[in-house]
Amino acid sequence: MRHELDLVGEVCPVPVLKAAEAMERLAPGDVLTIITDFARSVRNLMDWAERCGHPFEVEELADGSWAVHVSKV
Amino acid sequence: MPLMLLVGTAILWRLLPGCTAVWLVGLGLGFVLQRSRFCFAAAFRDPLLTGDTRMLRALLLLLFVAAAGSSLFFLAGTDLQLRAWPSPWASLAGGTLFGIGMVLAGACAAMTLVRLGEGLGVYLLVLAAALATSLLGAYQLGRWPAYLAQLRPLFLPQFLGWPLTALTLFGLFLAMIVLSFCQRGGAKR
Amino acid sequence: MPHLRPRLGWPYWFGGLLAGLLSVAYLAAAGHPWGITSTWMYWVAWLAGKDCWPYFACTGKAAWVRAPWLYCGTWFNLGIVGGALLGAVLAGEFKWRWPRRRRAVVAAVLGGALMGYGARLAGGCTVGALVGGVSTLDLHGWVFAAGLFLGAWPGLGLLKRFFL
Repeated sequence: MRHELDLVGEVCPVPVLKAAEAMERLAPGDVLTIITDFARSVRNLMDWAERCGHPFEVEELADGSWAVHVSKV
Repeated sequence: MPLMLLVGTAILWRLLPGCTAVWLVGLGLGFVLQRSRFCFAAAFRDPLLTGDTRMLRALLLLLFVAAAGSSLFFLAGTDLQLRAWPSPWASLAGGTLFGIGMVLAGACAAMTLVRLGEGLGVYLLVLAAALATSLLGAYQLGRWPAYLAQLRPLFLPQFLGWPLTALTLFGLFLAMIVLSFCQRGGAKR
Repeated sequence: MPHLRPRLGWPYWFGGLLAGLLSVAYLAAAGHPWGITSTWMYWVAWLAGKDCWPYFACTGKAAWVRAPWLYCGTWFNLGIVGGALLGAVLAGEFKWRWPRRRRAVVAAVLGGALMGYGARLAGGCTVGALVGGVSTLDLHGWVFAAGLFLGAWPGLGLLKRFFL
């Protein structure tokens, strides 16, 4: 199941906080997609996902923002 | 964009040559902070938030390098004007307020400027709010003669001596190493 | 993700190293440690026309309130914005954006307000009081750092409880 979290316009640390919160409610196998337009947040999210052991993928969107897909194992 | 900055620098050199050097240092700092995604607020906040001490370690490196470099000037006997500080209690109280503020705003003073450079308009509001309370602070502190009377530096080598001061600086370096082992999740960078 | 490497930016420690060196460069250029919030104070005092206040008169800083554009700190501040702008533009990351949640704006304004006052109380901000203080081997820098740690904790709590 895919969940989307639109965090365009948010500054750190909000993206990681909200992503972690949302992640709690996911079932294993679900994918959380976080949309952000802040490059620093992309890095924070990647670090967070890596630290927690969640596989992730970053996709650059057409309008210059990013979609970070994090899967829960 | 680089061309505009070059022109700006040339104009500044003509009008205010004394300030051109720090303008260039500022350019360098803004560039470095933006490119490395440095964040003072994150250095103090992330260890509490996620146990991530990477930014803190980078800050410790910054402090170590800055202190070591500055010490060379002190040891060379260069005539430097130190900052005038209030009492340590005021520093502590101010630091605490600042700490709360920077976590809420997501950026400290320098980072507010950097974020503005990146295009985040909300930091105009942060700046405006900070300007307003700066004025308030200046007003209130100005009416408190005891505060103004206490402005002086507490130069460590003066009351600790140089060997102990050097030790504290090495403590910074050591803390950096120790923290890299405490990194939760094992990710070291 | 090799294609993302540029997006990640420089390593944090590298930034810290360069910034530390820049702080020494500032000291060499200006003869005193750097700072950011003093500039803010002079500009807002100038706007308000308060050069006669004791805070400025007693510390000999009234001249800067009368003409803050002559104060080199102004150019340091502008340089930081310019440098960051350059970095963002070169990396294609510059984008003018506003928050979409009102609570985010409130948090930002509240944060800014606390920072402004805290900086006045402590005589500086993270760049001025912390880096400036620790690098000039002043005890106040360390005390300020302790304050920052003390403040980060309730700050985070407030953020989570009210502004998320």
